[in-house]
Amino acid sequence: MLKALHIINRVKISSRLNSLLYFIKKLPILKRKLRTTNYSFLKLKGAIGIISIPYNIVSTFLKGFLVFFTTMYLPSNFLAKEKAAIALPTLIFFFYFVLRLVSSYMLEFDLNKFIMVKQMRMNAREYSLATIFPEEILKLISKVIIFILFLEFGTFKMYGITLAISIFSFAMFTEAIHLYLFDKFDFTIYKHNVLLVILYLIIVFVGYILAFGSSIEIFFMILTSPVFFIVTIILGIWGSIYILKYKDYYRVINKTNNIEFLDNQKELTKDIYFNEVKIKEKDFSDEDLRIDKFTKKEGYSYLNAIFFDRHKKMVYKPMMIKSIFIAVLFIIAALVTELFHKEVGPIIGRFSYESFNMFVFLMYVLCNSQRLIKSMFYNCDLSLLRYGFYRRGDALLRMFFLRLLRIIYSNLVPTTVLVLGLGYNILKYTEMGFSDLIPIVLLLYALAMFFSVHYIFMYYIFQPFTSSLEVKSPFYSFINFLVYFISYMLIQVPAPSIVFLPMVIGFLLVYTAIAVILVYKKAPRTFRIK
Amino acid sequence: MELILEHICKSFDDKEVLSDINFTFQQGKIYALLGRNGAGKTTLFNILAEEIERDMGEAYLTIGGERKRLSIDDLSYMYSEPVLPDFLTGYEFIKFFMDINMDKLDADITIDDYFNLIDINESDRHKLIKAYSKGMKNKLQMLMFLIIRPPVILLDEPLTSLDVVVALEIKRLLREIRKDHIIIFSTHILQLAKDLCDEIVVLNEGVLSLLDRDHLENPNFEDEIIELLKEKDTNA
Repeated sequence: MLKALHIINRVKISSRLNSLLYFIKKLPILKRKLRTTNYSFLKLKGAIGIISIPYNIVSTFLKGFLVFFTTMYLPSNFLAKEKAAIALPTLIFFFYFVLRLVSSYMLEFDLNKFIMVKQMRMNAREYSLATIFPEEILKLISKVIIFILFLEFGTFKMYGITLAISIFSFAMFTEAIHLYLFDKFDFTIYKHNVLLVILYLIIVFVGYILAFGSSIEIFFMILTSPVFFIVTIILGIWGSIYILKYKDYYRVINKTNNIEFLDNQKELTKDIYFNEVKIKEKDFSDEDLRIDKFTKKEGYSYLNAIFFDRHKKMVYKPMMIKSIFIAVLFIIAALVTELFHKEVGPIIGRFSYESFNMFVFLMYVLCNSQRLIKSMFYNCDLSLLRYGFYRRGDALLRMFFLRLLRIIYSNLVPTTVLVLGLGYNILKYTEMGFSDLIPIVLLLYALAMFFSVHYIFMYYIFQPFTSSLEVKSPFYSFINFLVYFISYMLIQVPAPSIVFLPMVIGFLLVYTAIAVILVYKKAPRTFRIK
Repeated sequence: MELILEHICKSFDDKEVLSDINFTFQQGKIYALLGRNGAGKTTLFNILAEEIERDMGEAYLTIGGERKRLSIDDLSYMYSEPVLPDFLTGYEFIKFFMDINMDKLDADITIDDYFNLIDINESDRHKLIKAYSKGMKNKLQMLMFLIIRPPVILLDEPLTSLDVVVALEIKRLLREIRKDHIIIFSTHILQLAKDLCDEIVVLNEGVLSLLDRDHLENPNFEDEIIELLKEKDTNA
């Protein structure tokens, strides 16, 4: 088993170090320096293999801590502060015992098992034992530390240690039970995905309800009772013996990790990223597919018109919904102001003038075209980019501007509704005049332009998708996240004085202009299938 | 050495894919398992490799007159879609594979010898498998059975999507090792079957049948096979 453990660890650490180098090689600056570095530092990796032990300890601890802290400790201390002494043990009982009962590491599908046991022919029993025991023991150690640091209940000082041992023992018992059920009845919970999800939801739901909604102390009493400790220890010993004595691990791994399942899995996840933009044939009536609809258009504008026509649901429908939604909100606000609460209108007016930083996130939500970009790739460019005529510089630029115009149009409509609504409230209910309104209006339109251009600009410059439908460029995801993050964070900060607005607007317009120029200059080279 | 299949049956829901497979494969020959798309070639391989359960029947291996049930240790199965760890290099993968299978190794052959054998050059050895083409991944899969040399080798559509050079290299390798093994090679490409294999076994309508060797030389061979497959198809 030690040899197996050693090999498993080395494979893991090699994979991790390779992934790290792979990532570093993608970073600018370093990319060039490391171009000639290959992955052949195997000897070194062997030596570094030794650090896998502290690495595993730290990462298991961090993972365990994160789960404990976010799902149990934090909720019980903030949401139910006065009842934390009841809430925390209840949550611990549900998360570490009840939830554990419906999961089994041994029967879980895992690509590593497939590769290590079926491809590389490692002995299945050795593999299983060399993964389950060390992993559970690491978890035990990290729980001991976490509990000693954070648990304030319990009948004696080192109570955390006994609780961690109970959890460990119960885990061994659970694994043994799952193995037993599989051995005798071929039962594996992972074959019943729907059931599994329902069970998970029920357990988590009931756990939280009992933790926060009741004052039952029973779980506290169970967890702290010596009988519970002794029972879990006995179950754990039985479980460990069963696991150690179990013979047919090959059958377990073989049946729960077979090639058909793997192929299905691959098929399912192959283009999962594009699932939301897949076009279904039944979405179109014969009327929609009539060929004489766009006879006045030619070439690329014909293609573009058809594309947007077949994506009405994705472009114009959301546009109408957003516009109507905003309009209805303003109408309700106006009615409420006139009929019931006179202060609502002035609040909206003043708020939009003073907290204009909020508009960044609002416009981010309103003008997001990420989904449409995906659709452009999946439903159009993925296939057409293979042809020379479509890749020609002038053709690319023509498509870019045709698309951009449509996107701008779809963003301008809801933006205009928003501008009208805010303008109405500012002019009618505050002392601000028409000239004070101008910077706000300009800001909203500049933001609309910015978000319209940003995504399609990123798409044409990075073209992040590969022909196998993966997102390859880390920058694309990163920059999109950054835009989201900045937009969101701006909600948190107070708005700067309104004199800054021209600068902000100026920046947005300059960005937009530079983006368009960059696409013009670079896209013929960057817009390719990777 | 012989691989004997007896009464192997498999249905999915109410569709019978393999109805009664009886066949004996001999050592030293490369067999082409020829069938149309969806005929059940992969299903038969999956059954032999214990990836899926059979409804009925058994597979045996006789070595030196002694007959025993075919076990997973007796065979290597080269999947049509290679399943390999993306973030290891080819070299590391084979190194670990050799570490694990130490007891089955030929001590005189080094890891670099093996890579030379399948013609993966020095710098490609140390690239991530993630960056390998399908042909290279297939070569790695082949290397696995070249290293442990199991009696039975199953190759599921191995050459269908490979470039000419890789396909030729793999053909050459298979020919070199065939004397010690039973090699079965599934394909739906007739020319490939005729070109590489010693025998052609047709899987149609859930049944295996051996084509007469004399037929291979017959100028009307292709028409005959097409007739055979079509005829049964129209009967269905």
